[in-house]
Amino acid sequence: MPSIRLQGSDGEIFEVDVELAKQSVTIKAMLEDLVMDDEGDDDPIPLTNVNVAILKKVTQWCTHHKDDPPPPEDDENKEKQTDDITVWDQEFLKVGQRTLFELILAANYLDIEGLLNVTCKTVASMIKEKTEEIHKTFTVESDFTEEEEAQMRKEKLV
Amino acid sequence: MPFLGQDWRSPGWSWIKTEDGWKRCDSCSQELRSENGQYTINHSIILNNGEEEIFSNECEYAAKKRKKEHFGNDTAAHSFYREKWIYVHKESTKERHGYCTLGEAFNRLDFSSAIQDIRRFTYVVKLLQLIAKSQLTSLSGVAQKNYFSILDKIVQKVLDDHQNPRLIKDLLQDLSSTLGILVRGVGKSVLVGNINIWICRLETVLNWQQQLQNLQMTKQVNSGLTLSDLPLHMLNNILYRFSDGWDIVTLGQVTPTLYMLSEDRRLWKKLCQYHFAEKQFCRHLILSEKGHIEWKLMYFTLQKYYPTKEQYGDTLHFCRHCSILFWKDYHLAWLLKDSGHPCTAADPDSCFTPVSPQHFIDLFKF
Repeated sequence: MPSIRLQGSDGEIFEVDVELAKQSVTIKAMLEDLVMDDEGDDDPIPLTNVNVAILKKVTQWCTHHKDDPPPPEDDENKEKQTDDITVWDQEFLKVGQRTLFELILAANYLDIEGLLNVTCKTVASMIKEKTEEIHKTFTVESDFTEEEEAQMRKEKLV
Repeated sequence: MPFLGQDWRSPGWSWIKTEDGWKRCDSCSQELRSENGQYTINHSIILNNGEEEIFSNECEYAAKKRKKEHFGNDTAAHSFYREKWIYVHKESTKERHGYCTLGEAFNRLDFSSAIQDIRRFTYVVKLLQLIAKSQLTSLSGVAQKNYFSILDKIVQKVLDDHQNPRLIKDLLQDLSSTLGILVRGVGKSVLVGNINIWICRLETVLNWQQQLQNLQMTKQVNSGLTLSDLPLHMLNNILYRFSDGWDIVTLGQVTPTLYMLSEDRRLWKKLCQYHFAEKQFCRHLILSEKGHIEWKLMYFTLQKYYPTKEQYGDTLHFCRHCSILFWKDYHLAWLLKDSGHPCTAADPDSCFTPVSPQHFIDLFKF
């Protein structure tokens, strides 16, 4: 199995199977642009936006999903579905919030549609049906002042 | 344990009592049969040859010891065969007498493990809600007990993982008003069991509502990324996944960036188009001064008049050929080519239809 080497943002090198790496549209495009000969094999592909820990998680996901059929064309109905996540993916995404957001950013940067879909669905289902607790759930520092917040809560009943 | 078999010709099953009720014990029954077989062979040896008496005593002891080990070893020996399908019939046949009720279906379809699956969770909750509104008294005593124990598991789950709180609050609201009416208005002749059980249940439901009300999200101490660190198109991606307008409004109140994204007209247009039809738009058209359609206002107006779209990750299915209601077991289907029930149709997939919660209730109405 031919493998390629990827260099994470922290400088560490990580080796992965080529076929798996091609699930990432970004890496696939990079490979097509690079001239691959024997000497060129030694140069790792730099991925400045992803650290190696997240890269390992992403590889784990890609390994499990390597035989997945390509997703169907954008189905209008499916866009609003947040609970059709397989059991394996549910377990895989039982990680801290920080890792979850880093996975979203990595999936976005590497352009892996399946992973992006499933992570965004998970975040959407975490936010659903919460009210004021969103501040606390996501430790978002509110940019509004207290008066503005009170005003917005009054106006909520539009 | 009285004889309980599928029809009068079957030999019946072995049952074991557990906290979830009686469970059928499939592997046990097979092993018992084989042990009994050996036992009879030994017995016949004794009959044929009187001198083998000592030998037979030893065999008896060995058989008893094996049985003891078998039943002593709780987890390994007992495999619980949980059938997740039920034959829905409305009239009697030669083999089966009577009809299938909602309560029987409720007990048989194993909702307590279904709620652990995120794809089936909202479906089961919706079913419980419909039952709470009108069908609670049509359930048998065991089914009612089952209903409340599943509800207990659901409430504990929500208190643990903080997901879907509004859904459960709605369910409990419907249930507490139904229970209130039943306890005060209807009287003892309709309710199964002692009236005190029902009062107890009402108190439990009120207690759960209180617990959910007090549900405080723990403040996450997160030194890394937060929601607002995600780029705009990611936040948009997430906003477009909400199917309830209130979720969009709530998220929009968190930061000014999210507020701006949540006011996007296209977002509300997509939401209206998802839930409602064109005809319904025309009847309640709201235009702004410049002549643009006010999609956000229209959404909240239309919601008052028309029901919103229901969509579930996984539902029960009905096989038209076998007249059987079942869960599709994807894992088994992959391993054993089994669709979740013993199907006799030539082309199984063409006979399956998904069953909406209302349809499920209607299947059992006479």
